Amino acid sequence: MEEEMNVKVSDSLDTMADQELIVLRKTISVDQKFATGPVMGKFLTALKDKRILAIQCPECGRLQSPPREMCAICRVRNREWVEIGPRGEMRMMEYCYYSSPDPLTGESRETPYGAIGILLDGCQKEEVFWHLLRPEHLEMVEMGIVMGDRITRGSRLRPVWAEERSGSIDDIKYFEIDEQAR
Amino acid sequence: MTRNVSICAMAQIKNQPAIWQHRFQGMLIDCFESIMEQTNVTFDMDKGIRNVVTCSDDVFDARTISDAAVTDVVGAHFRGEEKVAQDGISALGYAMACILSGHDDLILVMGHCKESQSESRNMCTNLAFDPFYSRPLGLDYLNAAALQARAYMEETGLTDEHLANIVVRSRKNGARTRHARDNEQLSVREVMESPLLADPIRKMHNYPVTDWAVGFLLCCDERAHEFTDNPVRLTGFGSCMDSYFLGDRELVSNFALKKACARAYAMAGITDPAKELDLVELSDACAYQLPLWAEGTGITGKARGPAWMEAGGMDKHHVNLSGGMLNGNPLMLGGLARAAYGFTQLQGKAGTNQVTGLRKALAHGTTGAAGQHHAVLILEK
Repeated sequence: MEEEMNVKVSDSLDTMADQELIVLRKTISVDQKFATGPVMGKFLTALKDKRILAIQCPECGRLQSPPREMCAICRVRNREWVEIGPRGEMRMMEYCYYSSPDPLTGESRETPYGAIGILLDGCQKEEVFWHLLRPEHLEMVEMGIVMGDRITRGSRLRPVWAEERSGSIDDIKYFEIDEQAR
Repeated sequence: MTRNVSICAMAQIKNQPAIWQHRFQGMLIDCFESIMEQTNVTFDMDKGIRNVVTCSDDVFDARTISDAAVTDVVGAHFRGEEKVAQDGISALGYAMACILSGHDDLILVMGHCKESQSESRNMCTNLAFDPFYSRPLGLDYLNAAALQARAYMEETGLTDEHLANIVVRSRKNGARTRHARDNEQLSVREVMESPLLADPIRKMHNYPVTDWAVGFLLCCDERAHEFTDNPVRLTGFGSCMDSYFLGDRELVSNFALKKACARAYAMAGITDPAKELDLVELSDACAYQLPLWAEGTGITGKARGPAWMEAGGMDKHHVNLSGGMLNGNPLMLGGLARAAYGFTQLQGKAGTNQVTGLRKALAHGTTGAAGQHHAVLILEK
């Protein structure tokens, strides 16, 4: 025989009906200085020159962009750099219907927006680069699909660079459909 | 329990005021690569490392689930990984438990903390307090420590001059320790004239902002020879948590530290710590903590701290020959720094500060305001 376990909630809302419950709203904020280190730093610096860099594992040869210090799979330090893209093929997109506002500034992006994975030229398989799609092109892009032998090519995309570039991921405003490839 | 456990290898970078040129991942890689080089250990699922224990802090990393960000650089990809968000000495205790239980033969322990990343260490530790009462009143680890320091000075007669002597000695010892933070040497007068941060704690009584990372390879004794010919055994561990709310705690009772020591001593078969311990490394984030924690370990008696110091107790018991936390190790890693130094000494590699005939060492770590949690580790040759 199984016995039913009932946990009594001692402070249920019923028992607190006569009490005012206070909720404090606070913003937690501690300023930070995030070092990029030589690897992420090199990637960000290249964006200033409108170049997208990937780092390559000396053992398995896979490309990582954004680059990381080590290949997690082979447990070795990445050393070789390869320039990739900047054009590529649309692989996948998420329609995002909510915006996450910055808690400090309240700034948020327009919705819906497209978070996309692009297979930049020079990359293969899972080596997709994540960024944003130009909002006006949301309904126009086609995803590329690789399922076994079934291969569908996605739209060709190109980056739109910010005029003022500071070495941040926002130096690429977004990717848009590459009209030249049509 | 028939198994024994040893540290086979340790790797650390130098403690530095600001490692601005690297991400915290970059700090860990140097340690990881050194452990691999020293031991040729693998991540083979039968014979190699299957589990990694890390130590880091979400607020200091400004990243929730801070361990997720470092798995790539500690070899944890497709392996088990557990994080200790407490002083790292608990990570060594956890690793010991994994091996002594027979669950694993090998555990890699990796810890990092980059205090320089934050605008303010005190703003980070303020977040350790409840948001309704203690936090708005401004409590952080520094002024909580000041309350404890005042209580301890009242109880024992510890003076500003005693504190200055602890700092001067720490700087001297730190200068003789290879990976210790490079600090200026100070005179007693300079310490006593340094500005008050929170009465009675002066600027020079408080450990400086420091960045550091460290790694340890732990292994069951029967396989230790595969990785080193100079293993150091871990024979005891104990930990104890005191009340969270500062007002519930008797600040100078050393309640949690005494309990932690009692557990570790029982496990290691130590009955008289003052006689049996040849080296004692205490996590003294502030100068007053050295004699206070020394009392807690039982190498001197209750309220005997100042008299013990005057009788040369710090040198007689080889306390904090590394320079201690006071010379500069980041929060969270105080205990790992103590264990790293104990390991170095027991391996006979401590250079000019080497203690001869060393057999048993104690490494201590503490977490939380004014020592809410304490843990100690016994290392043996």
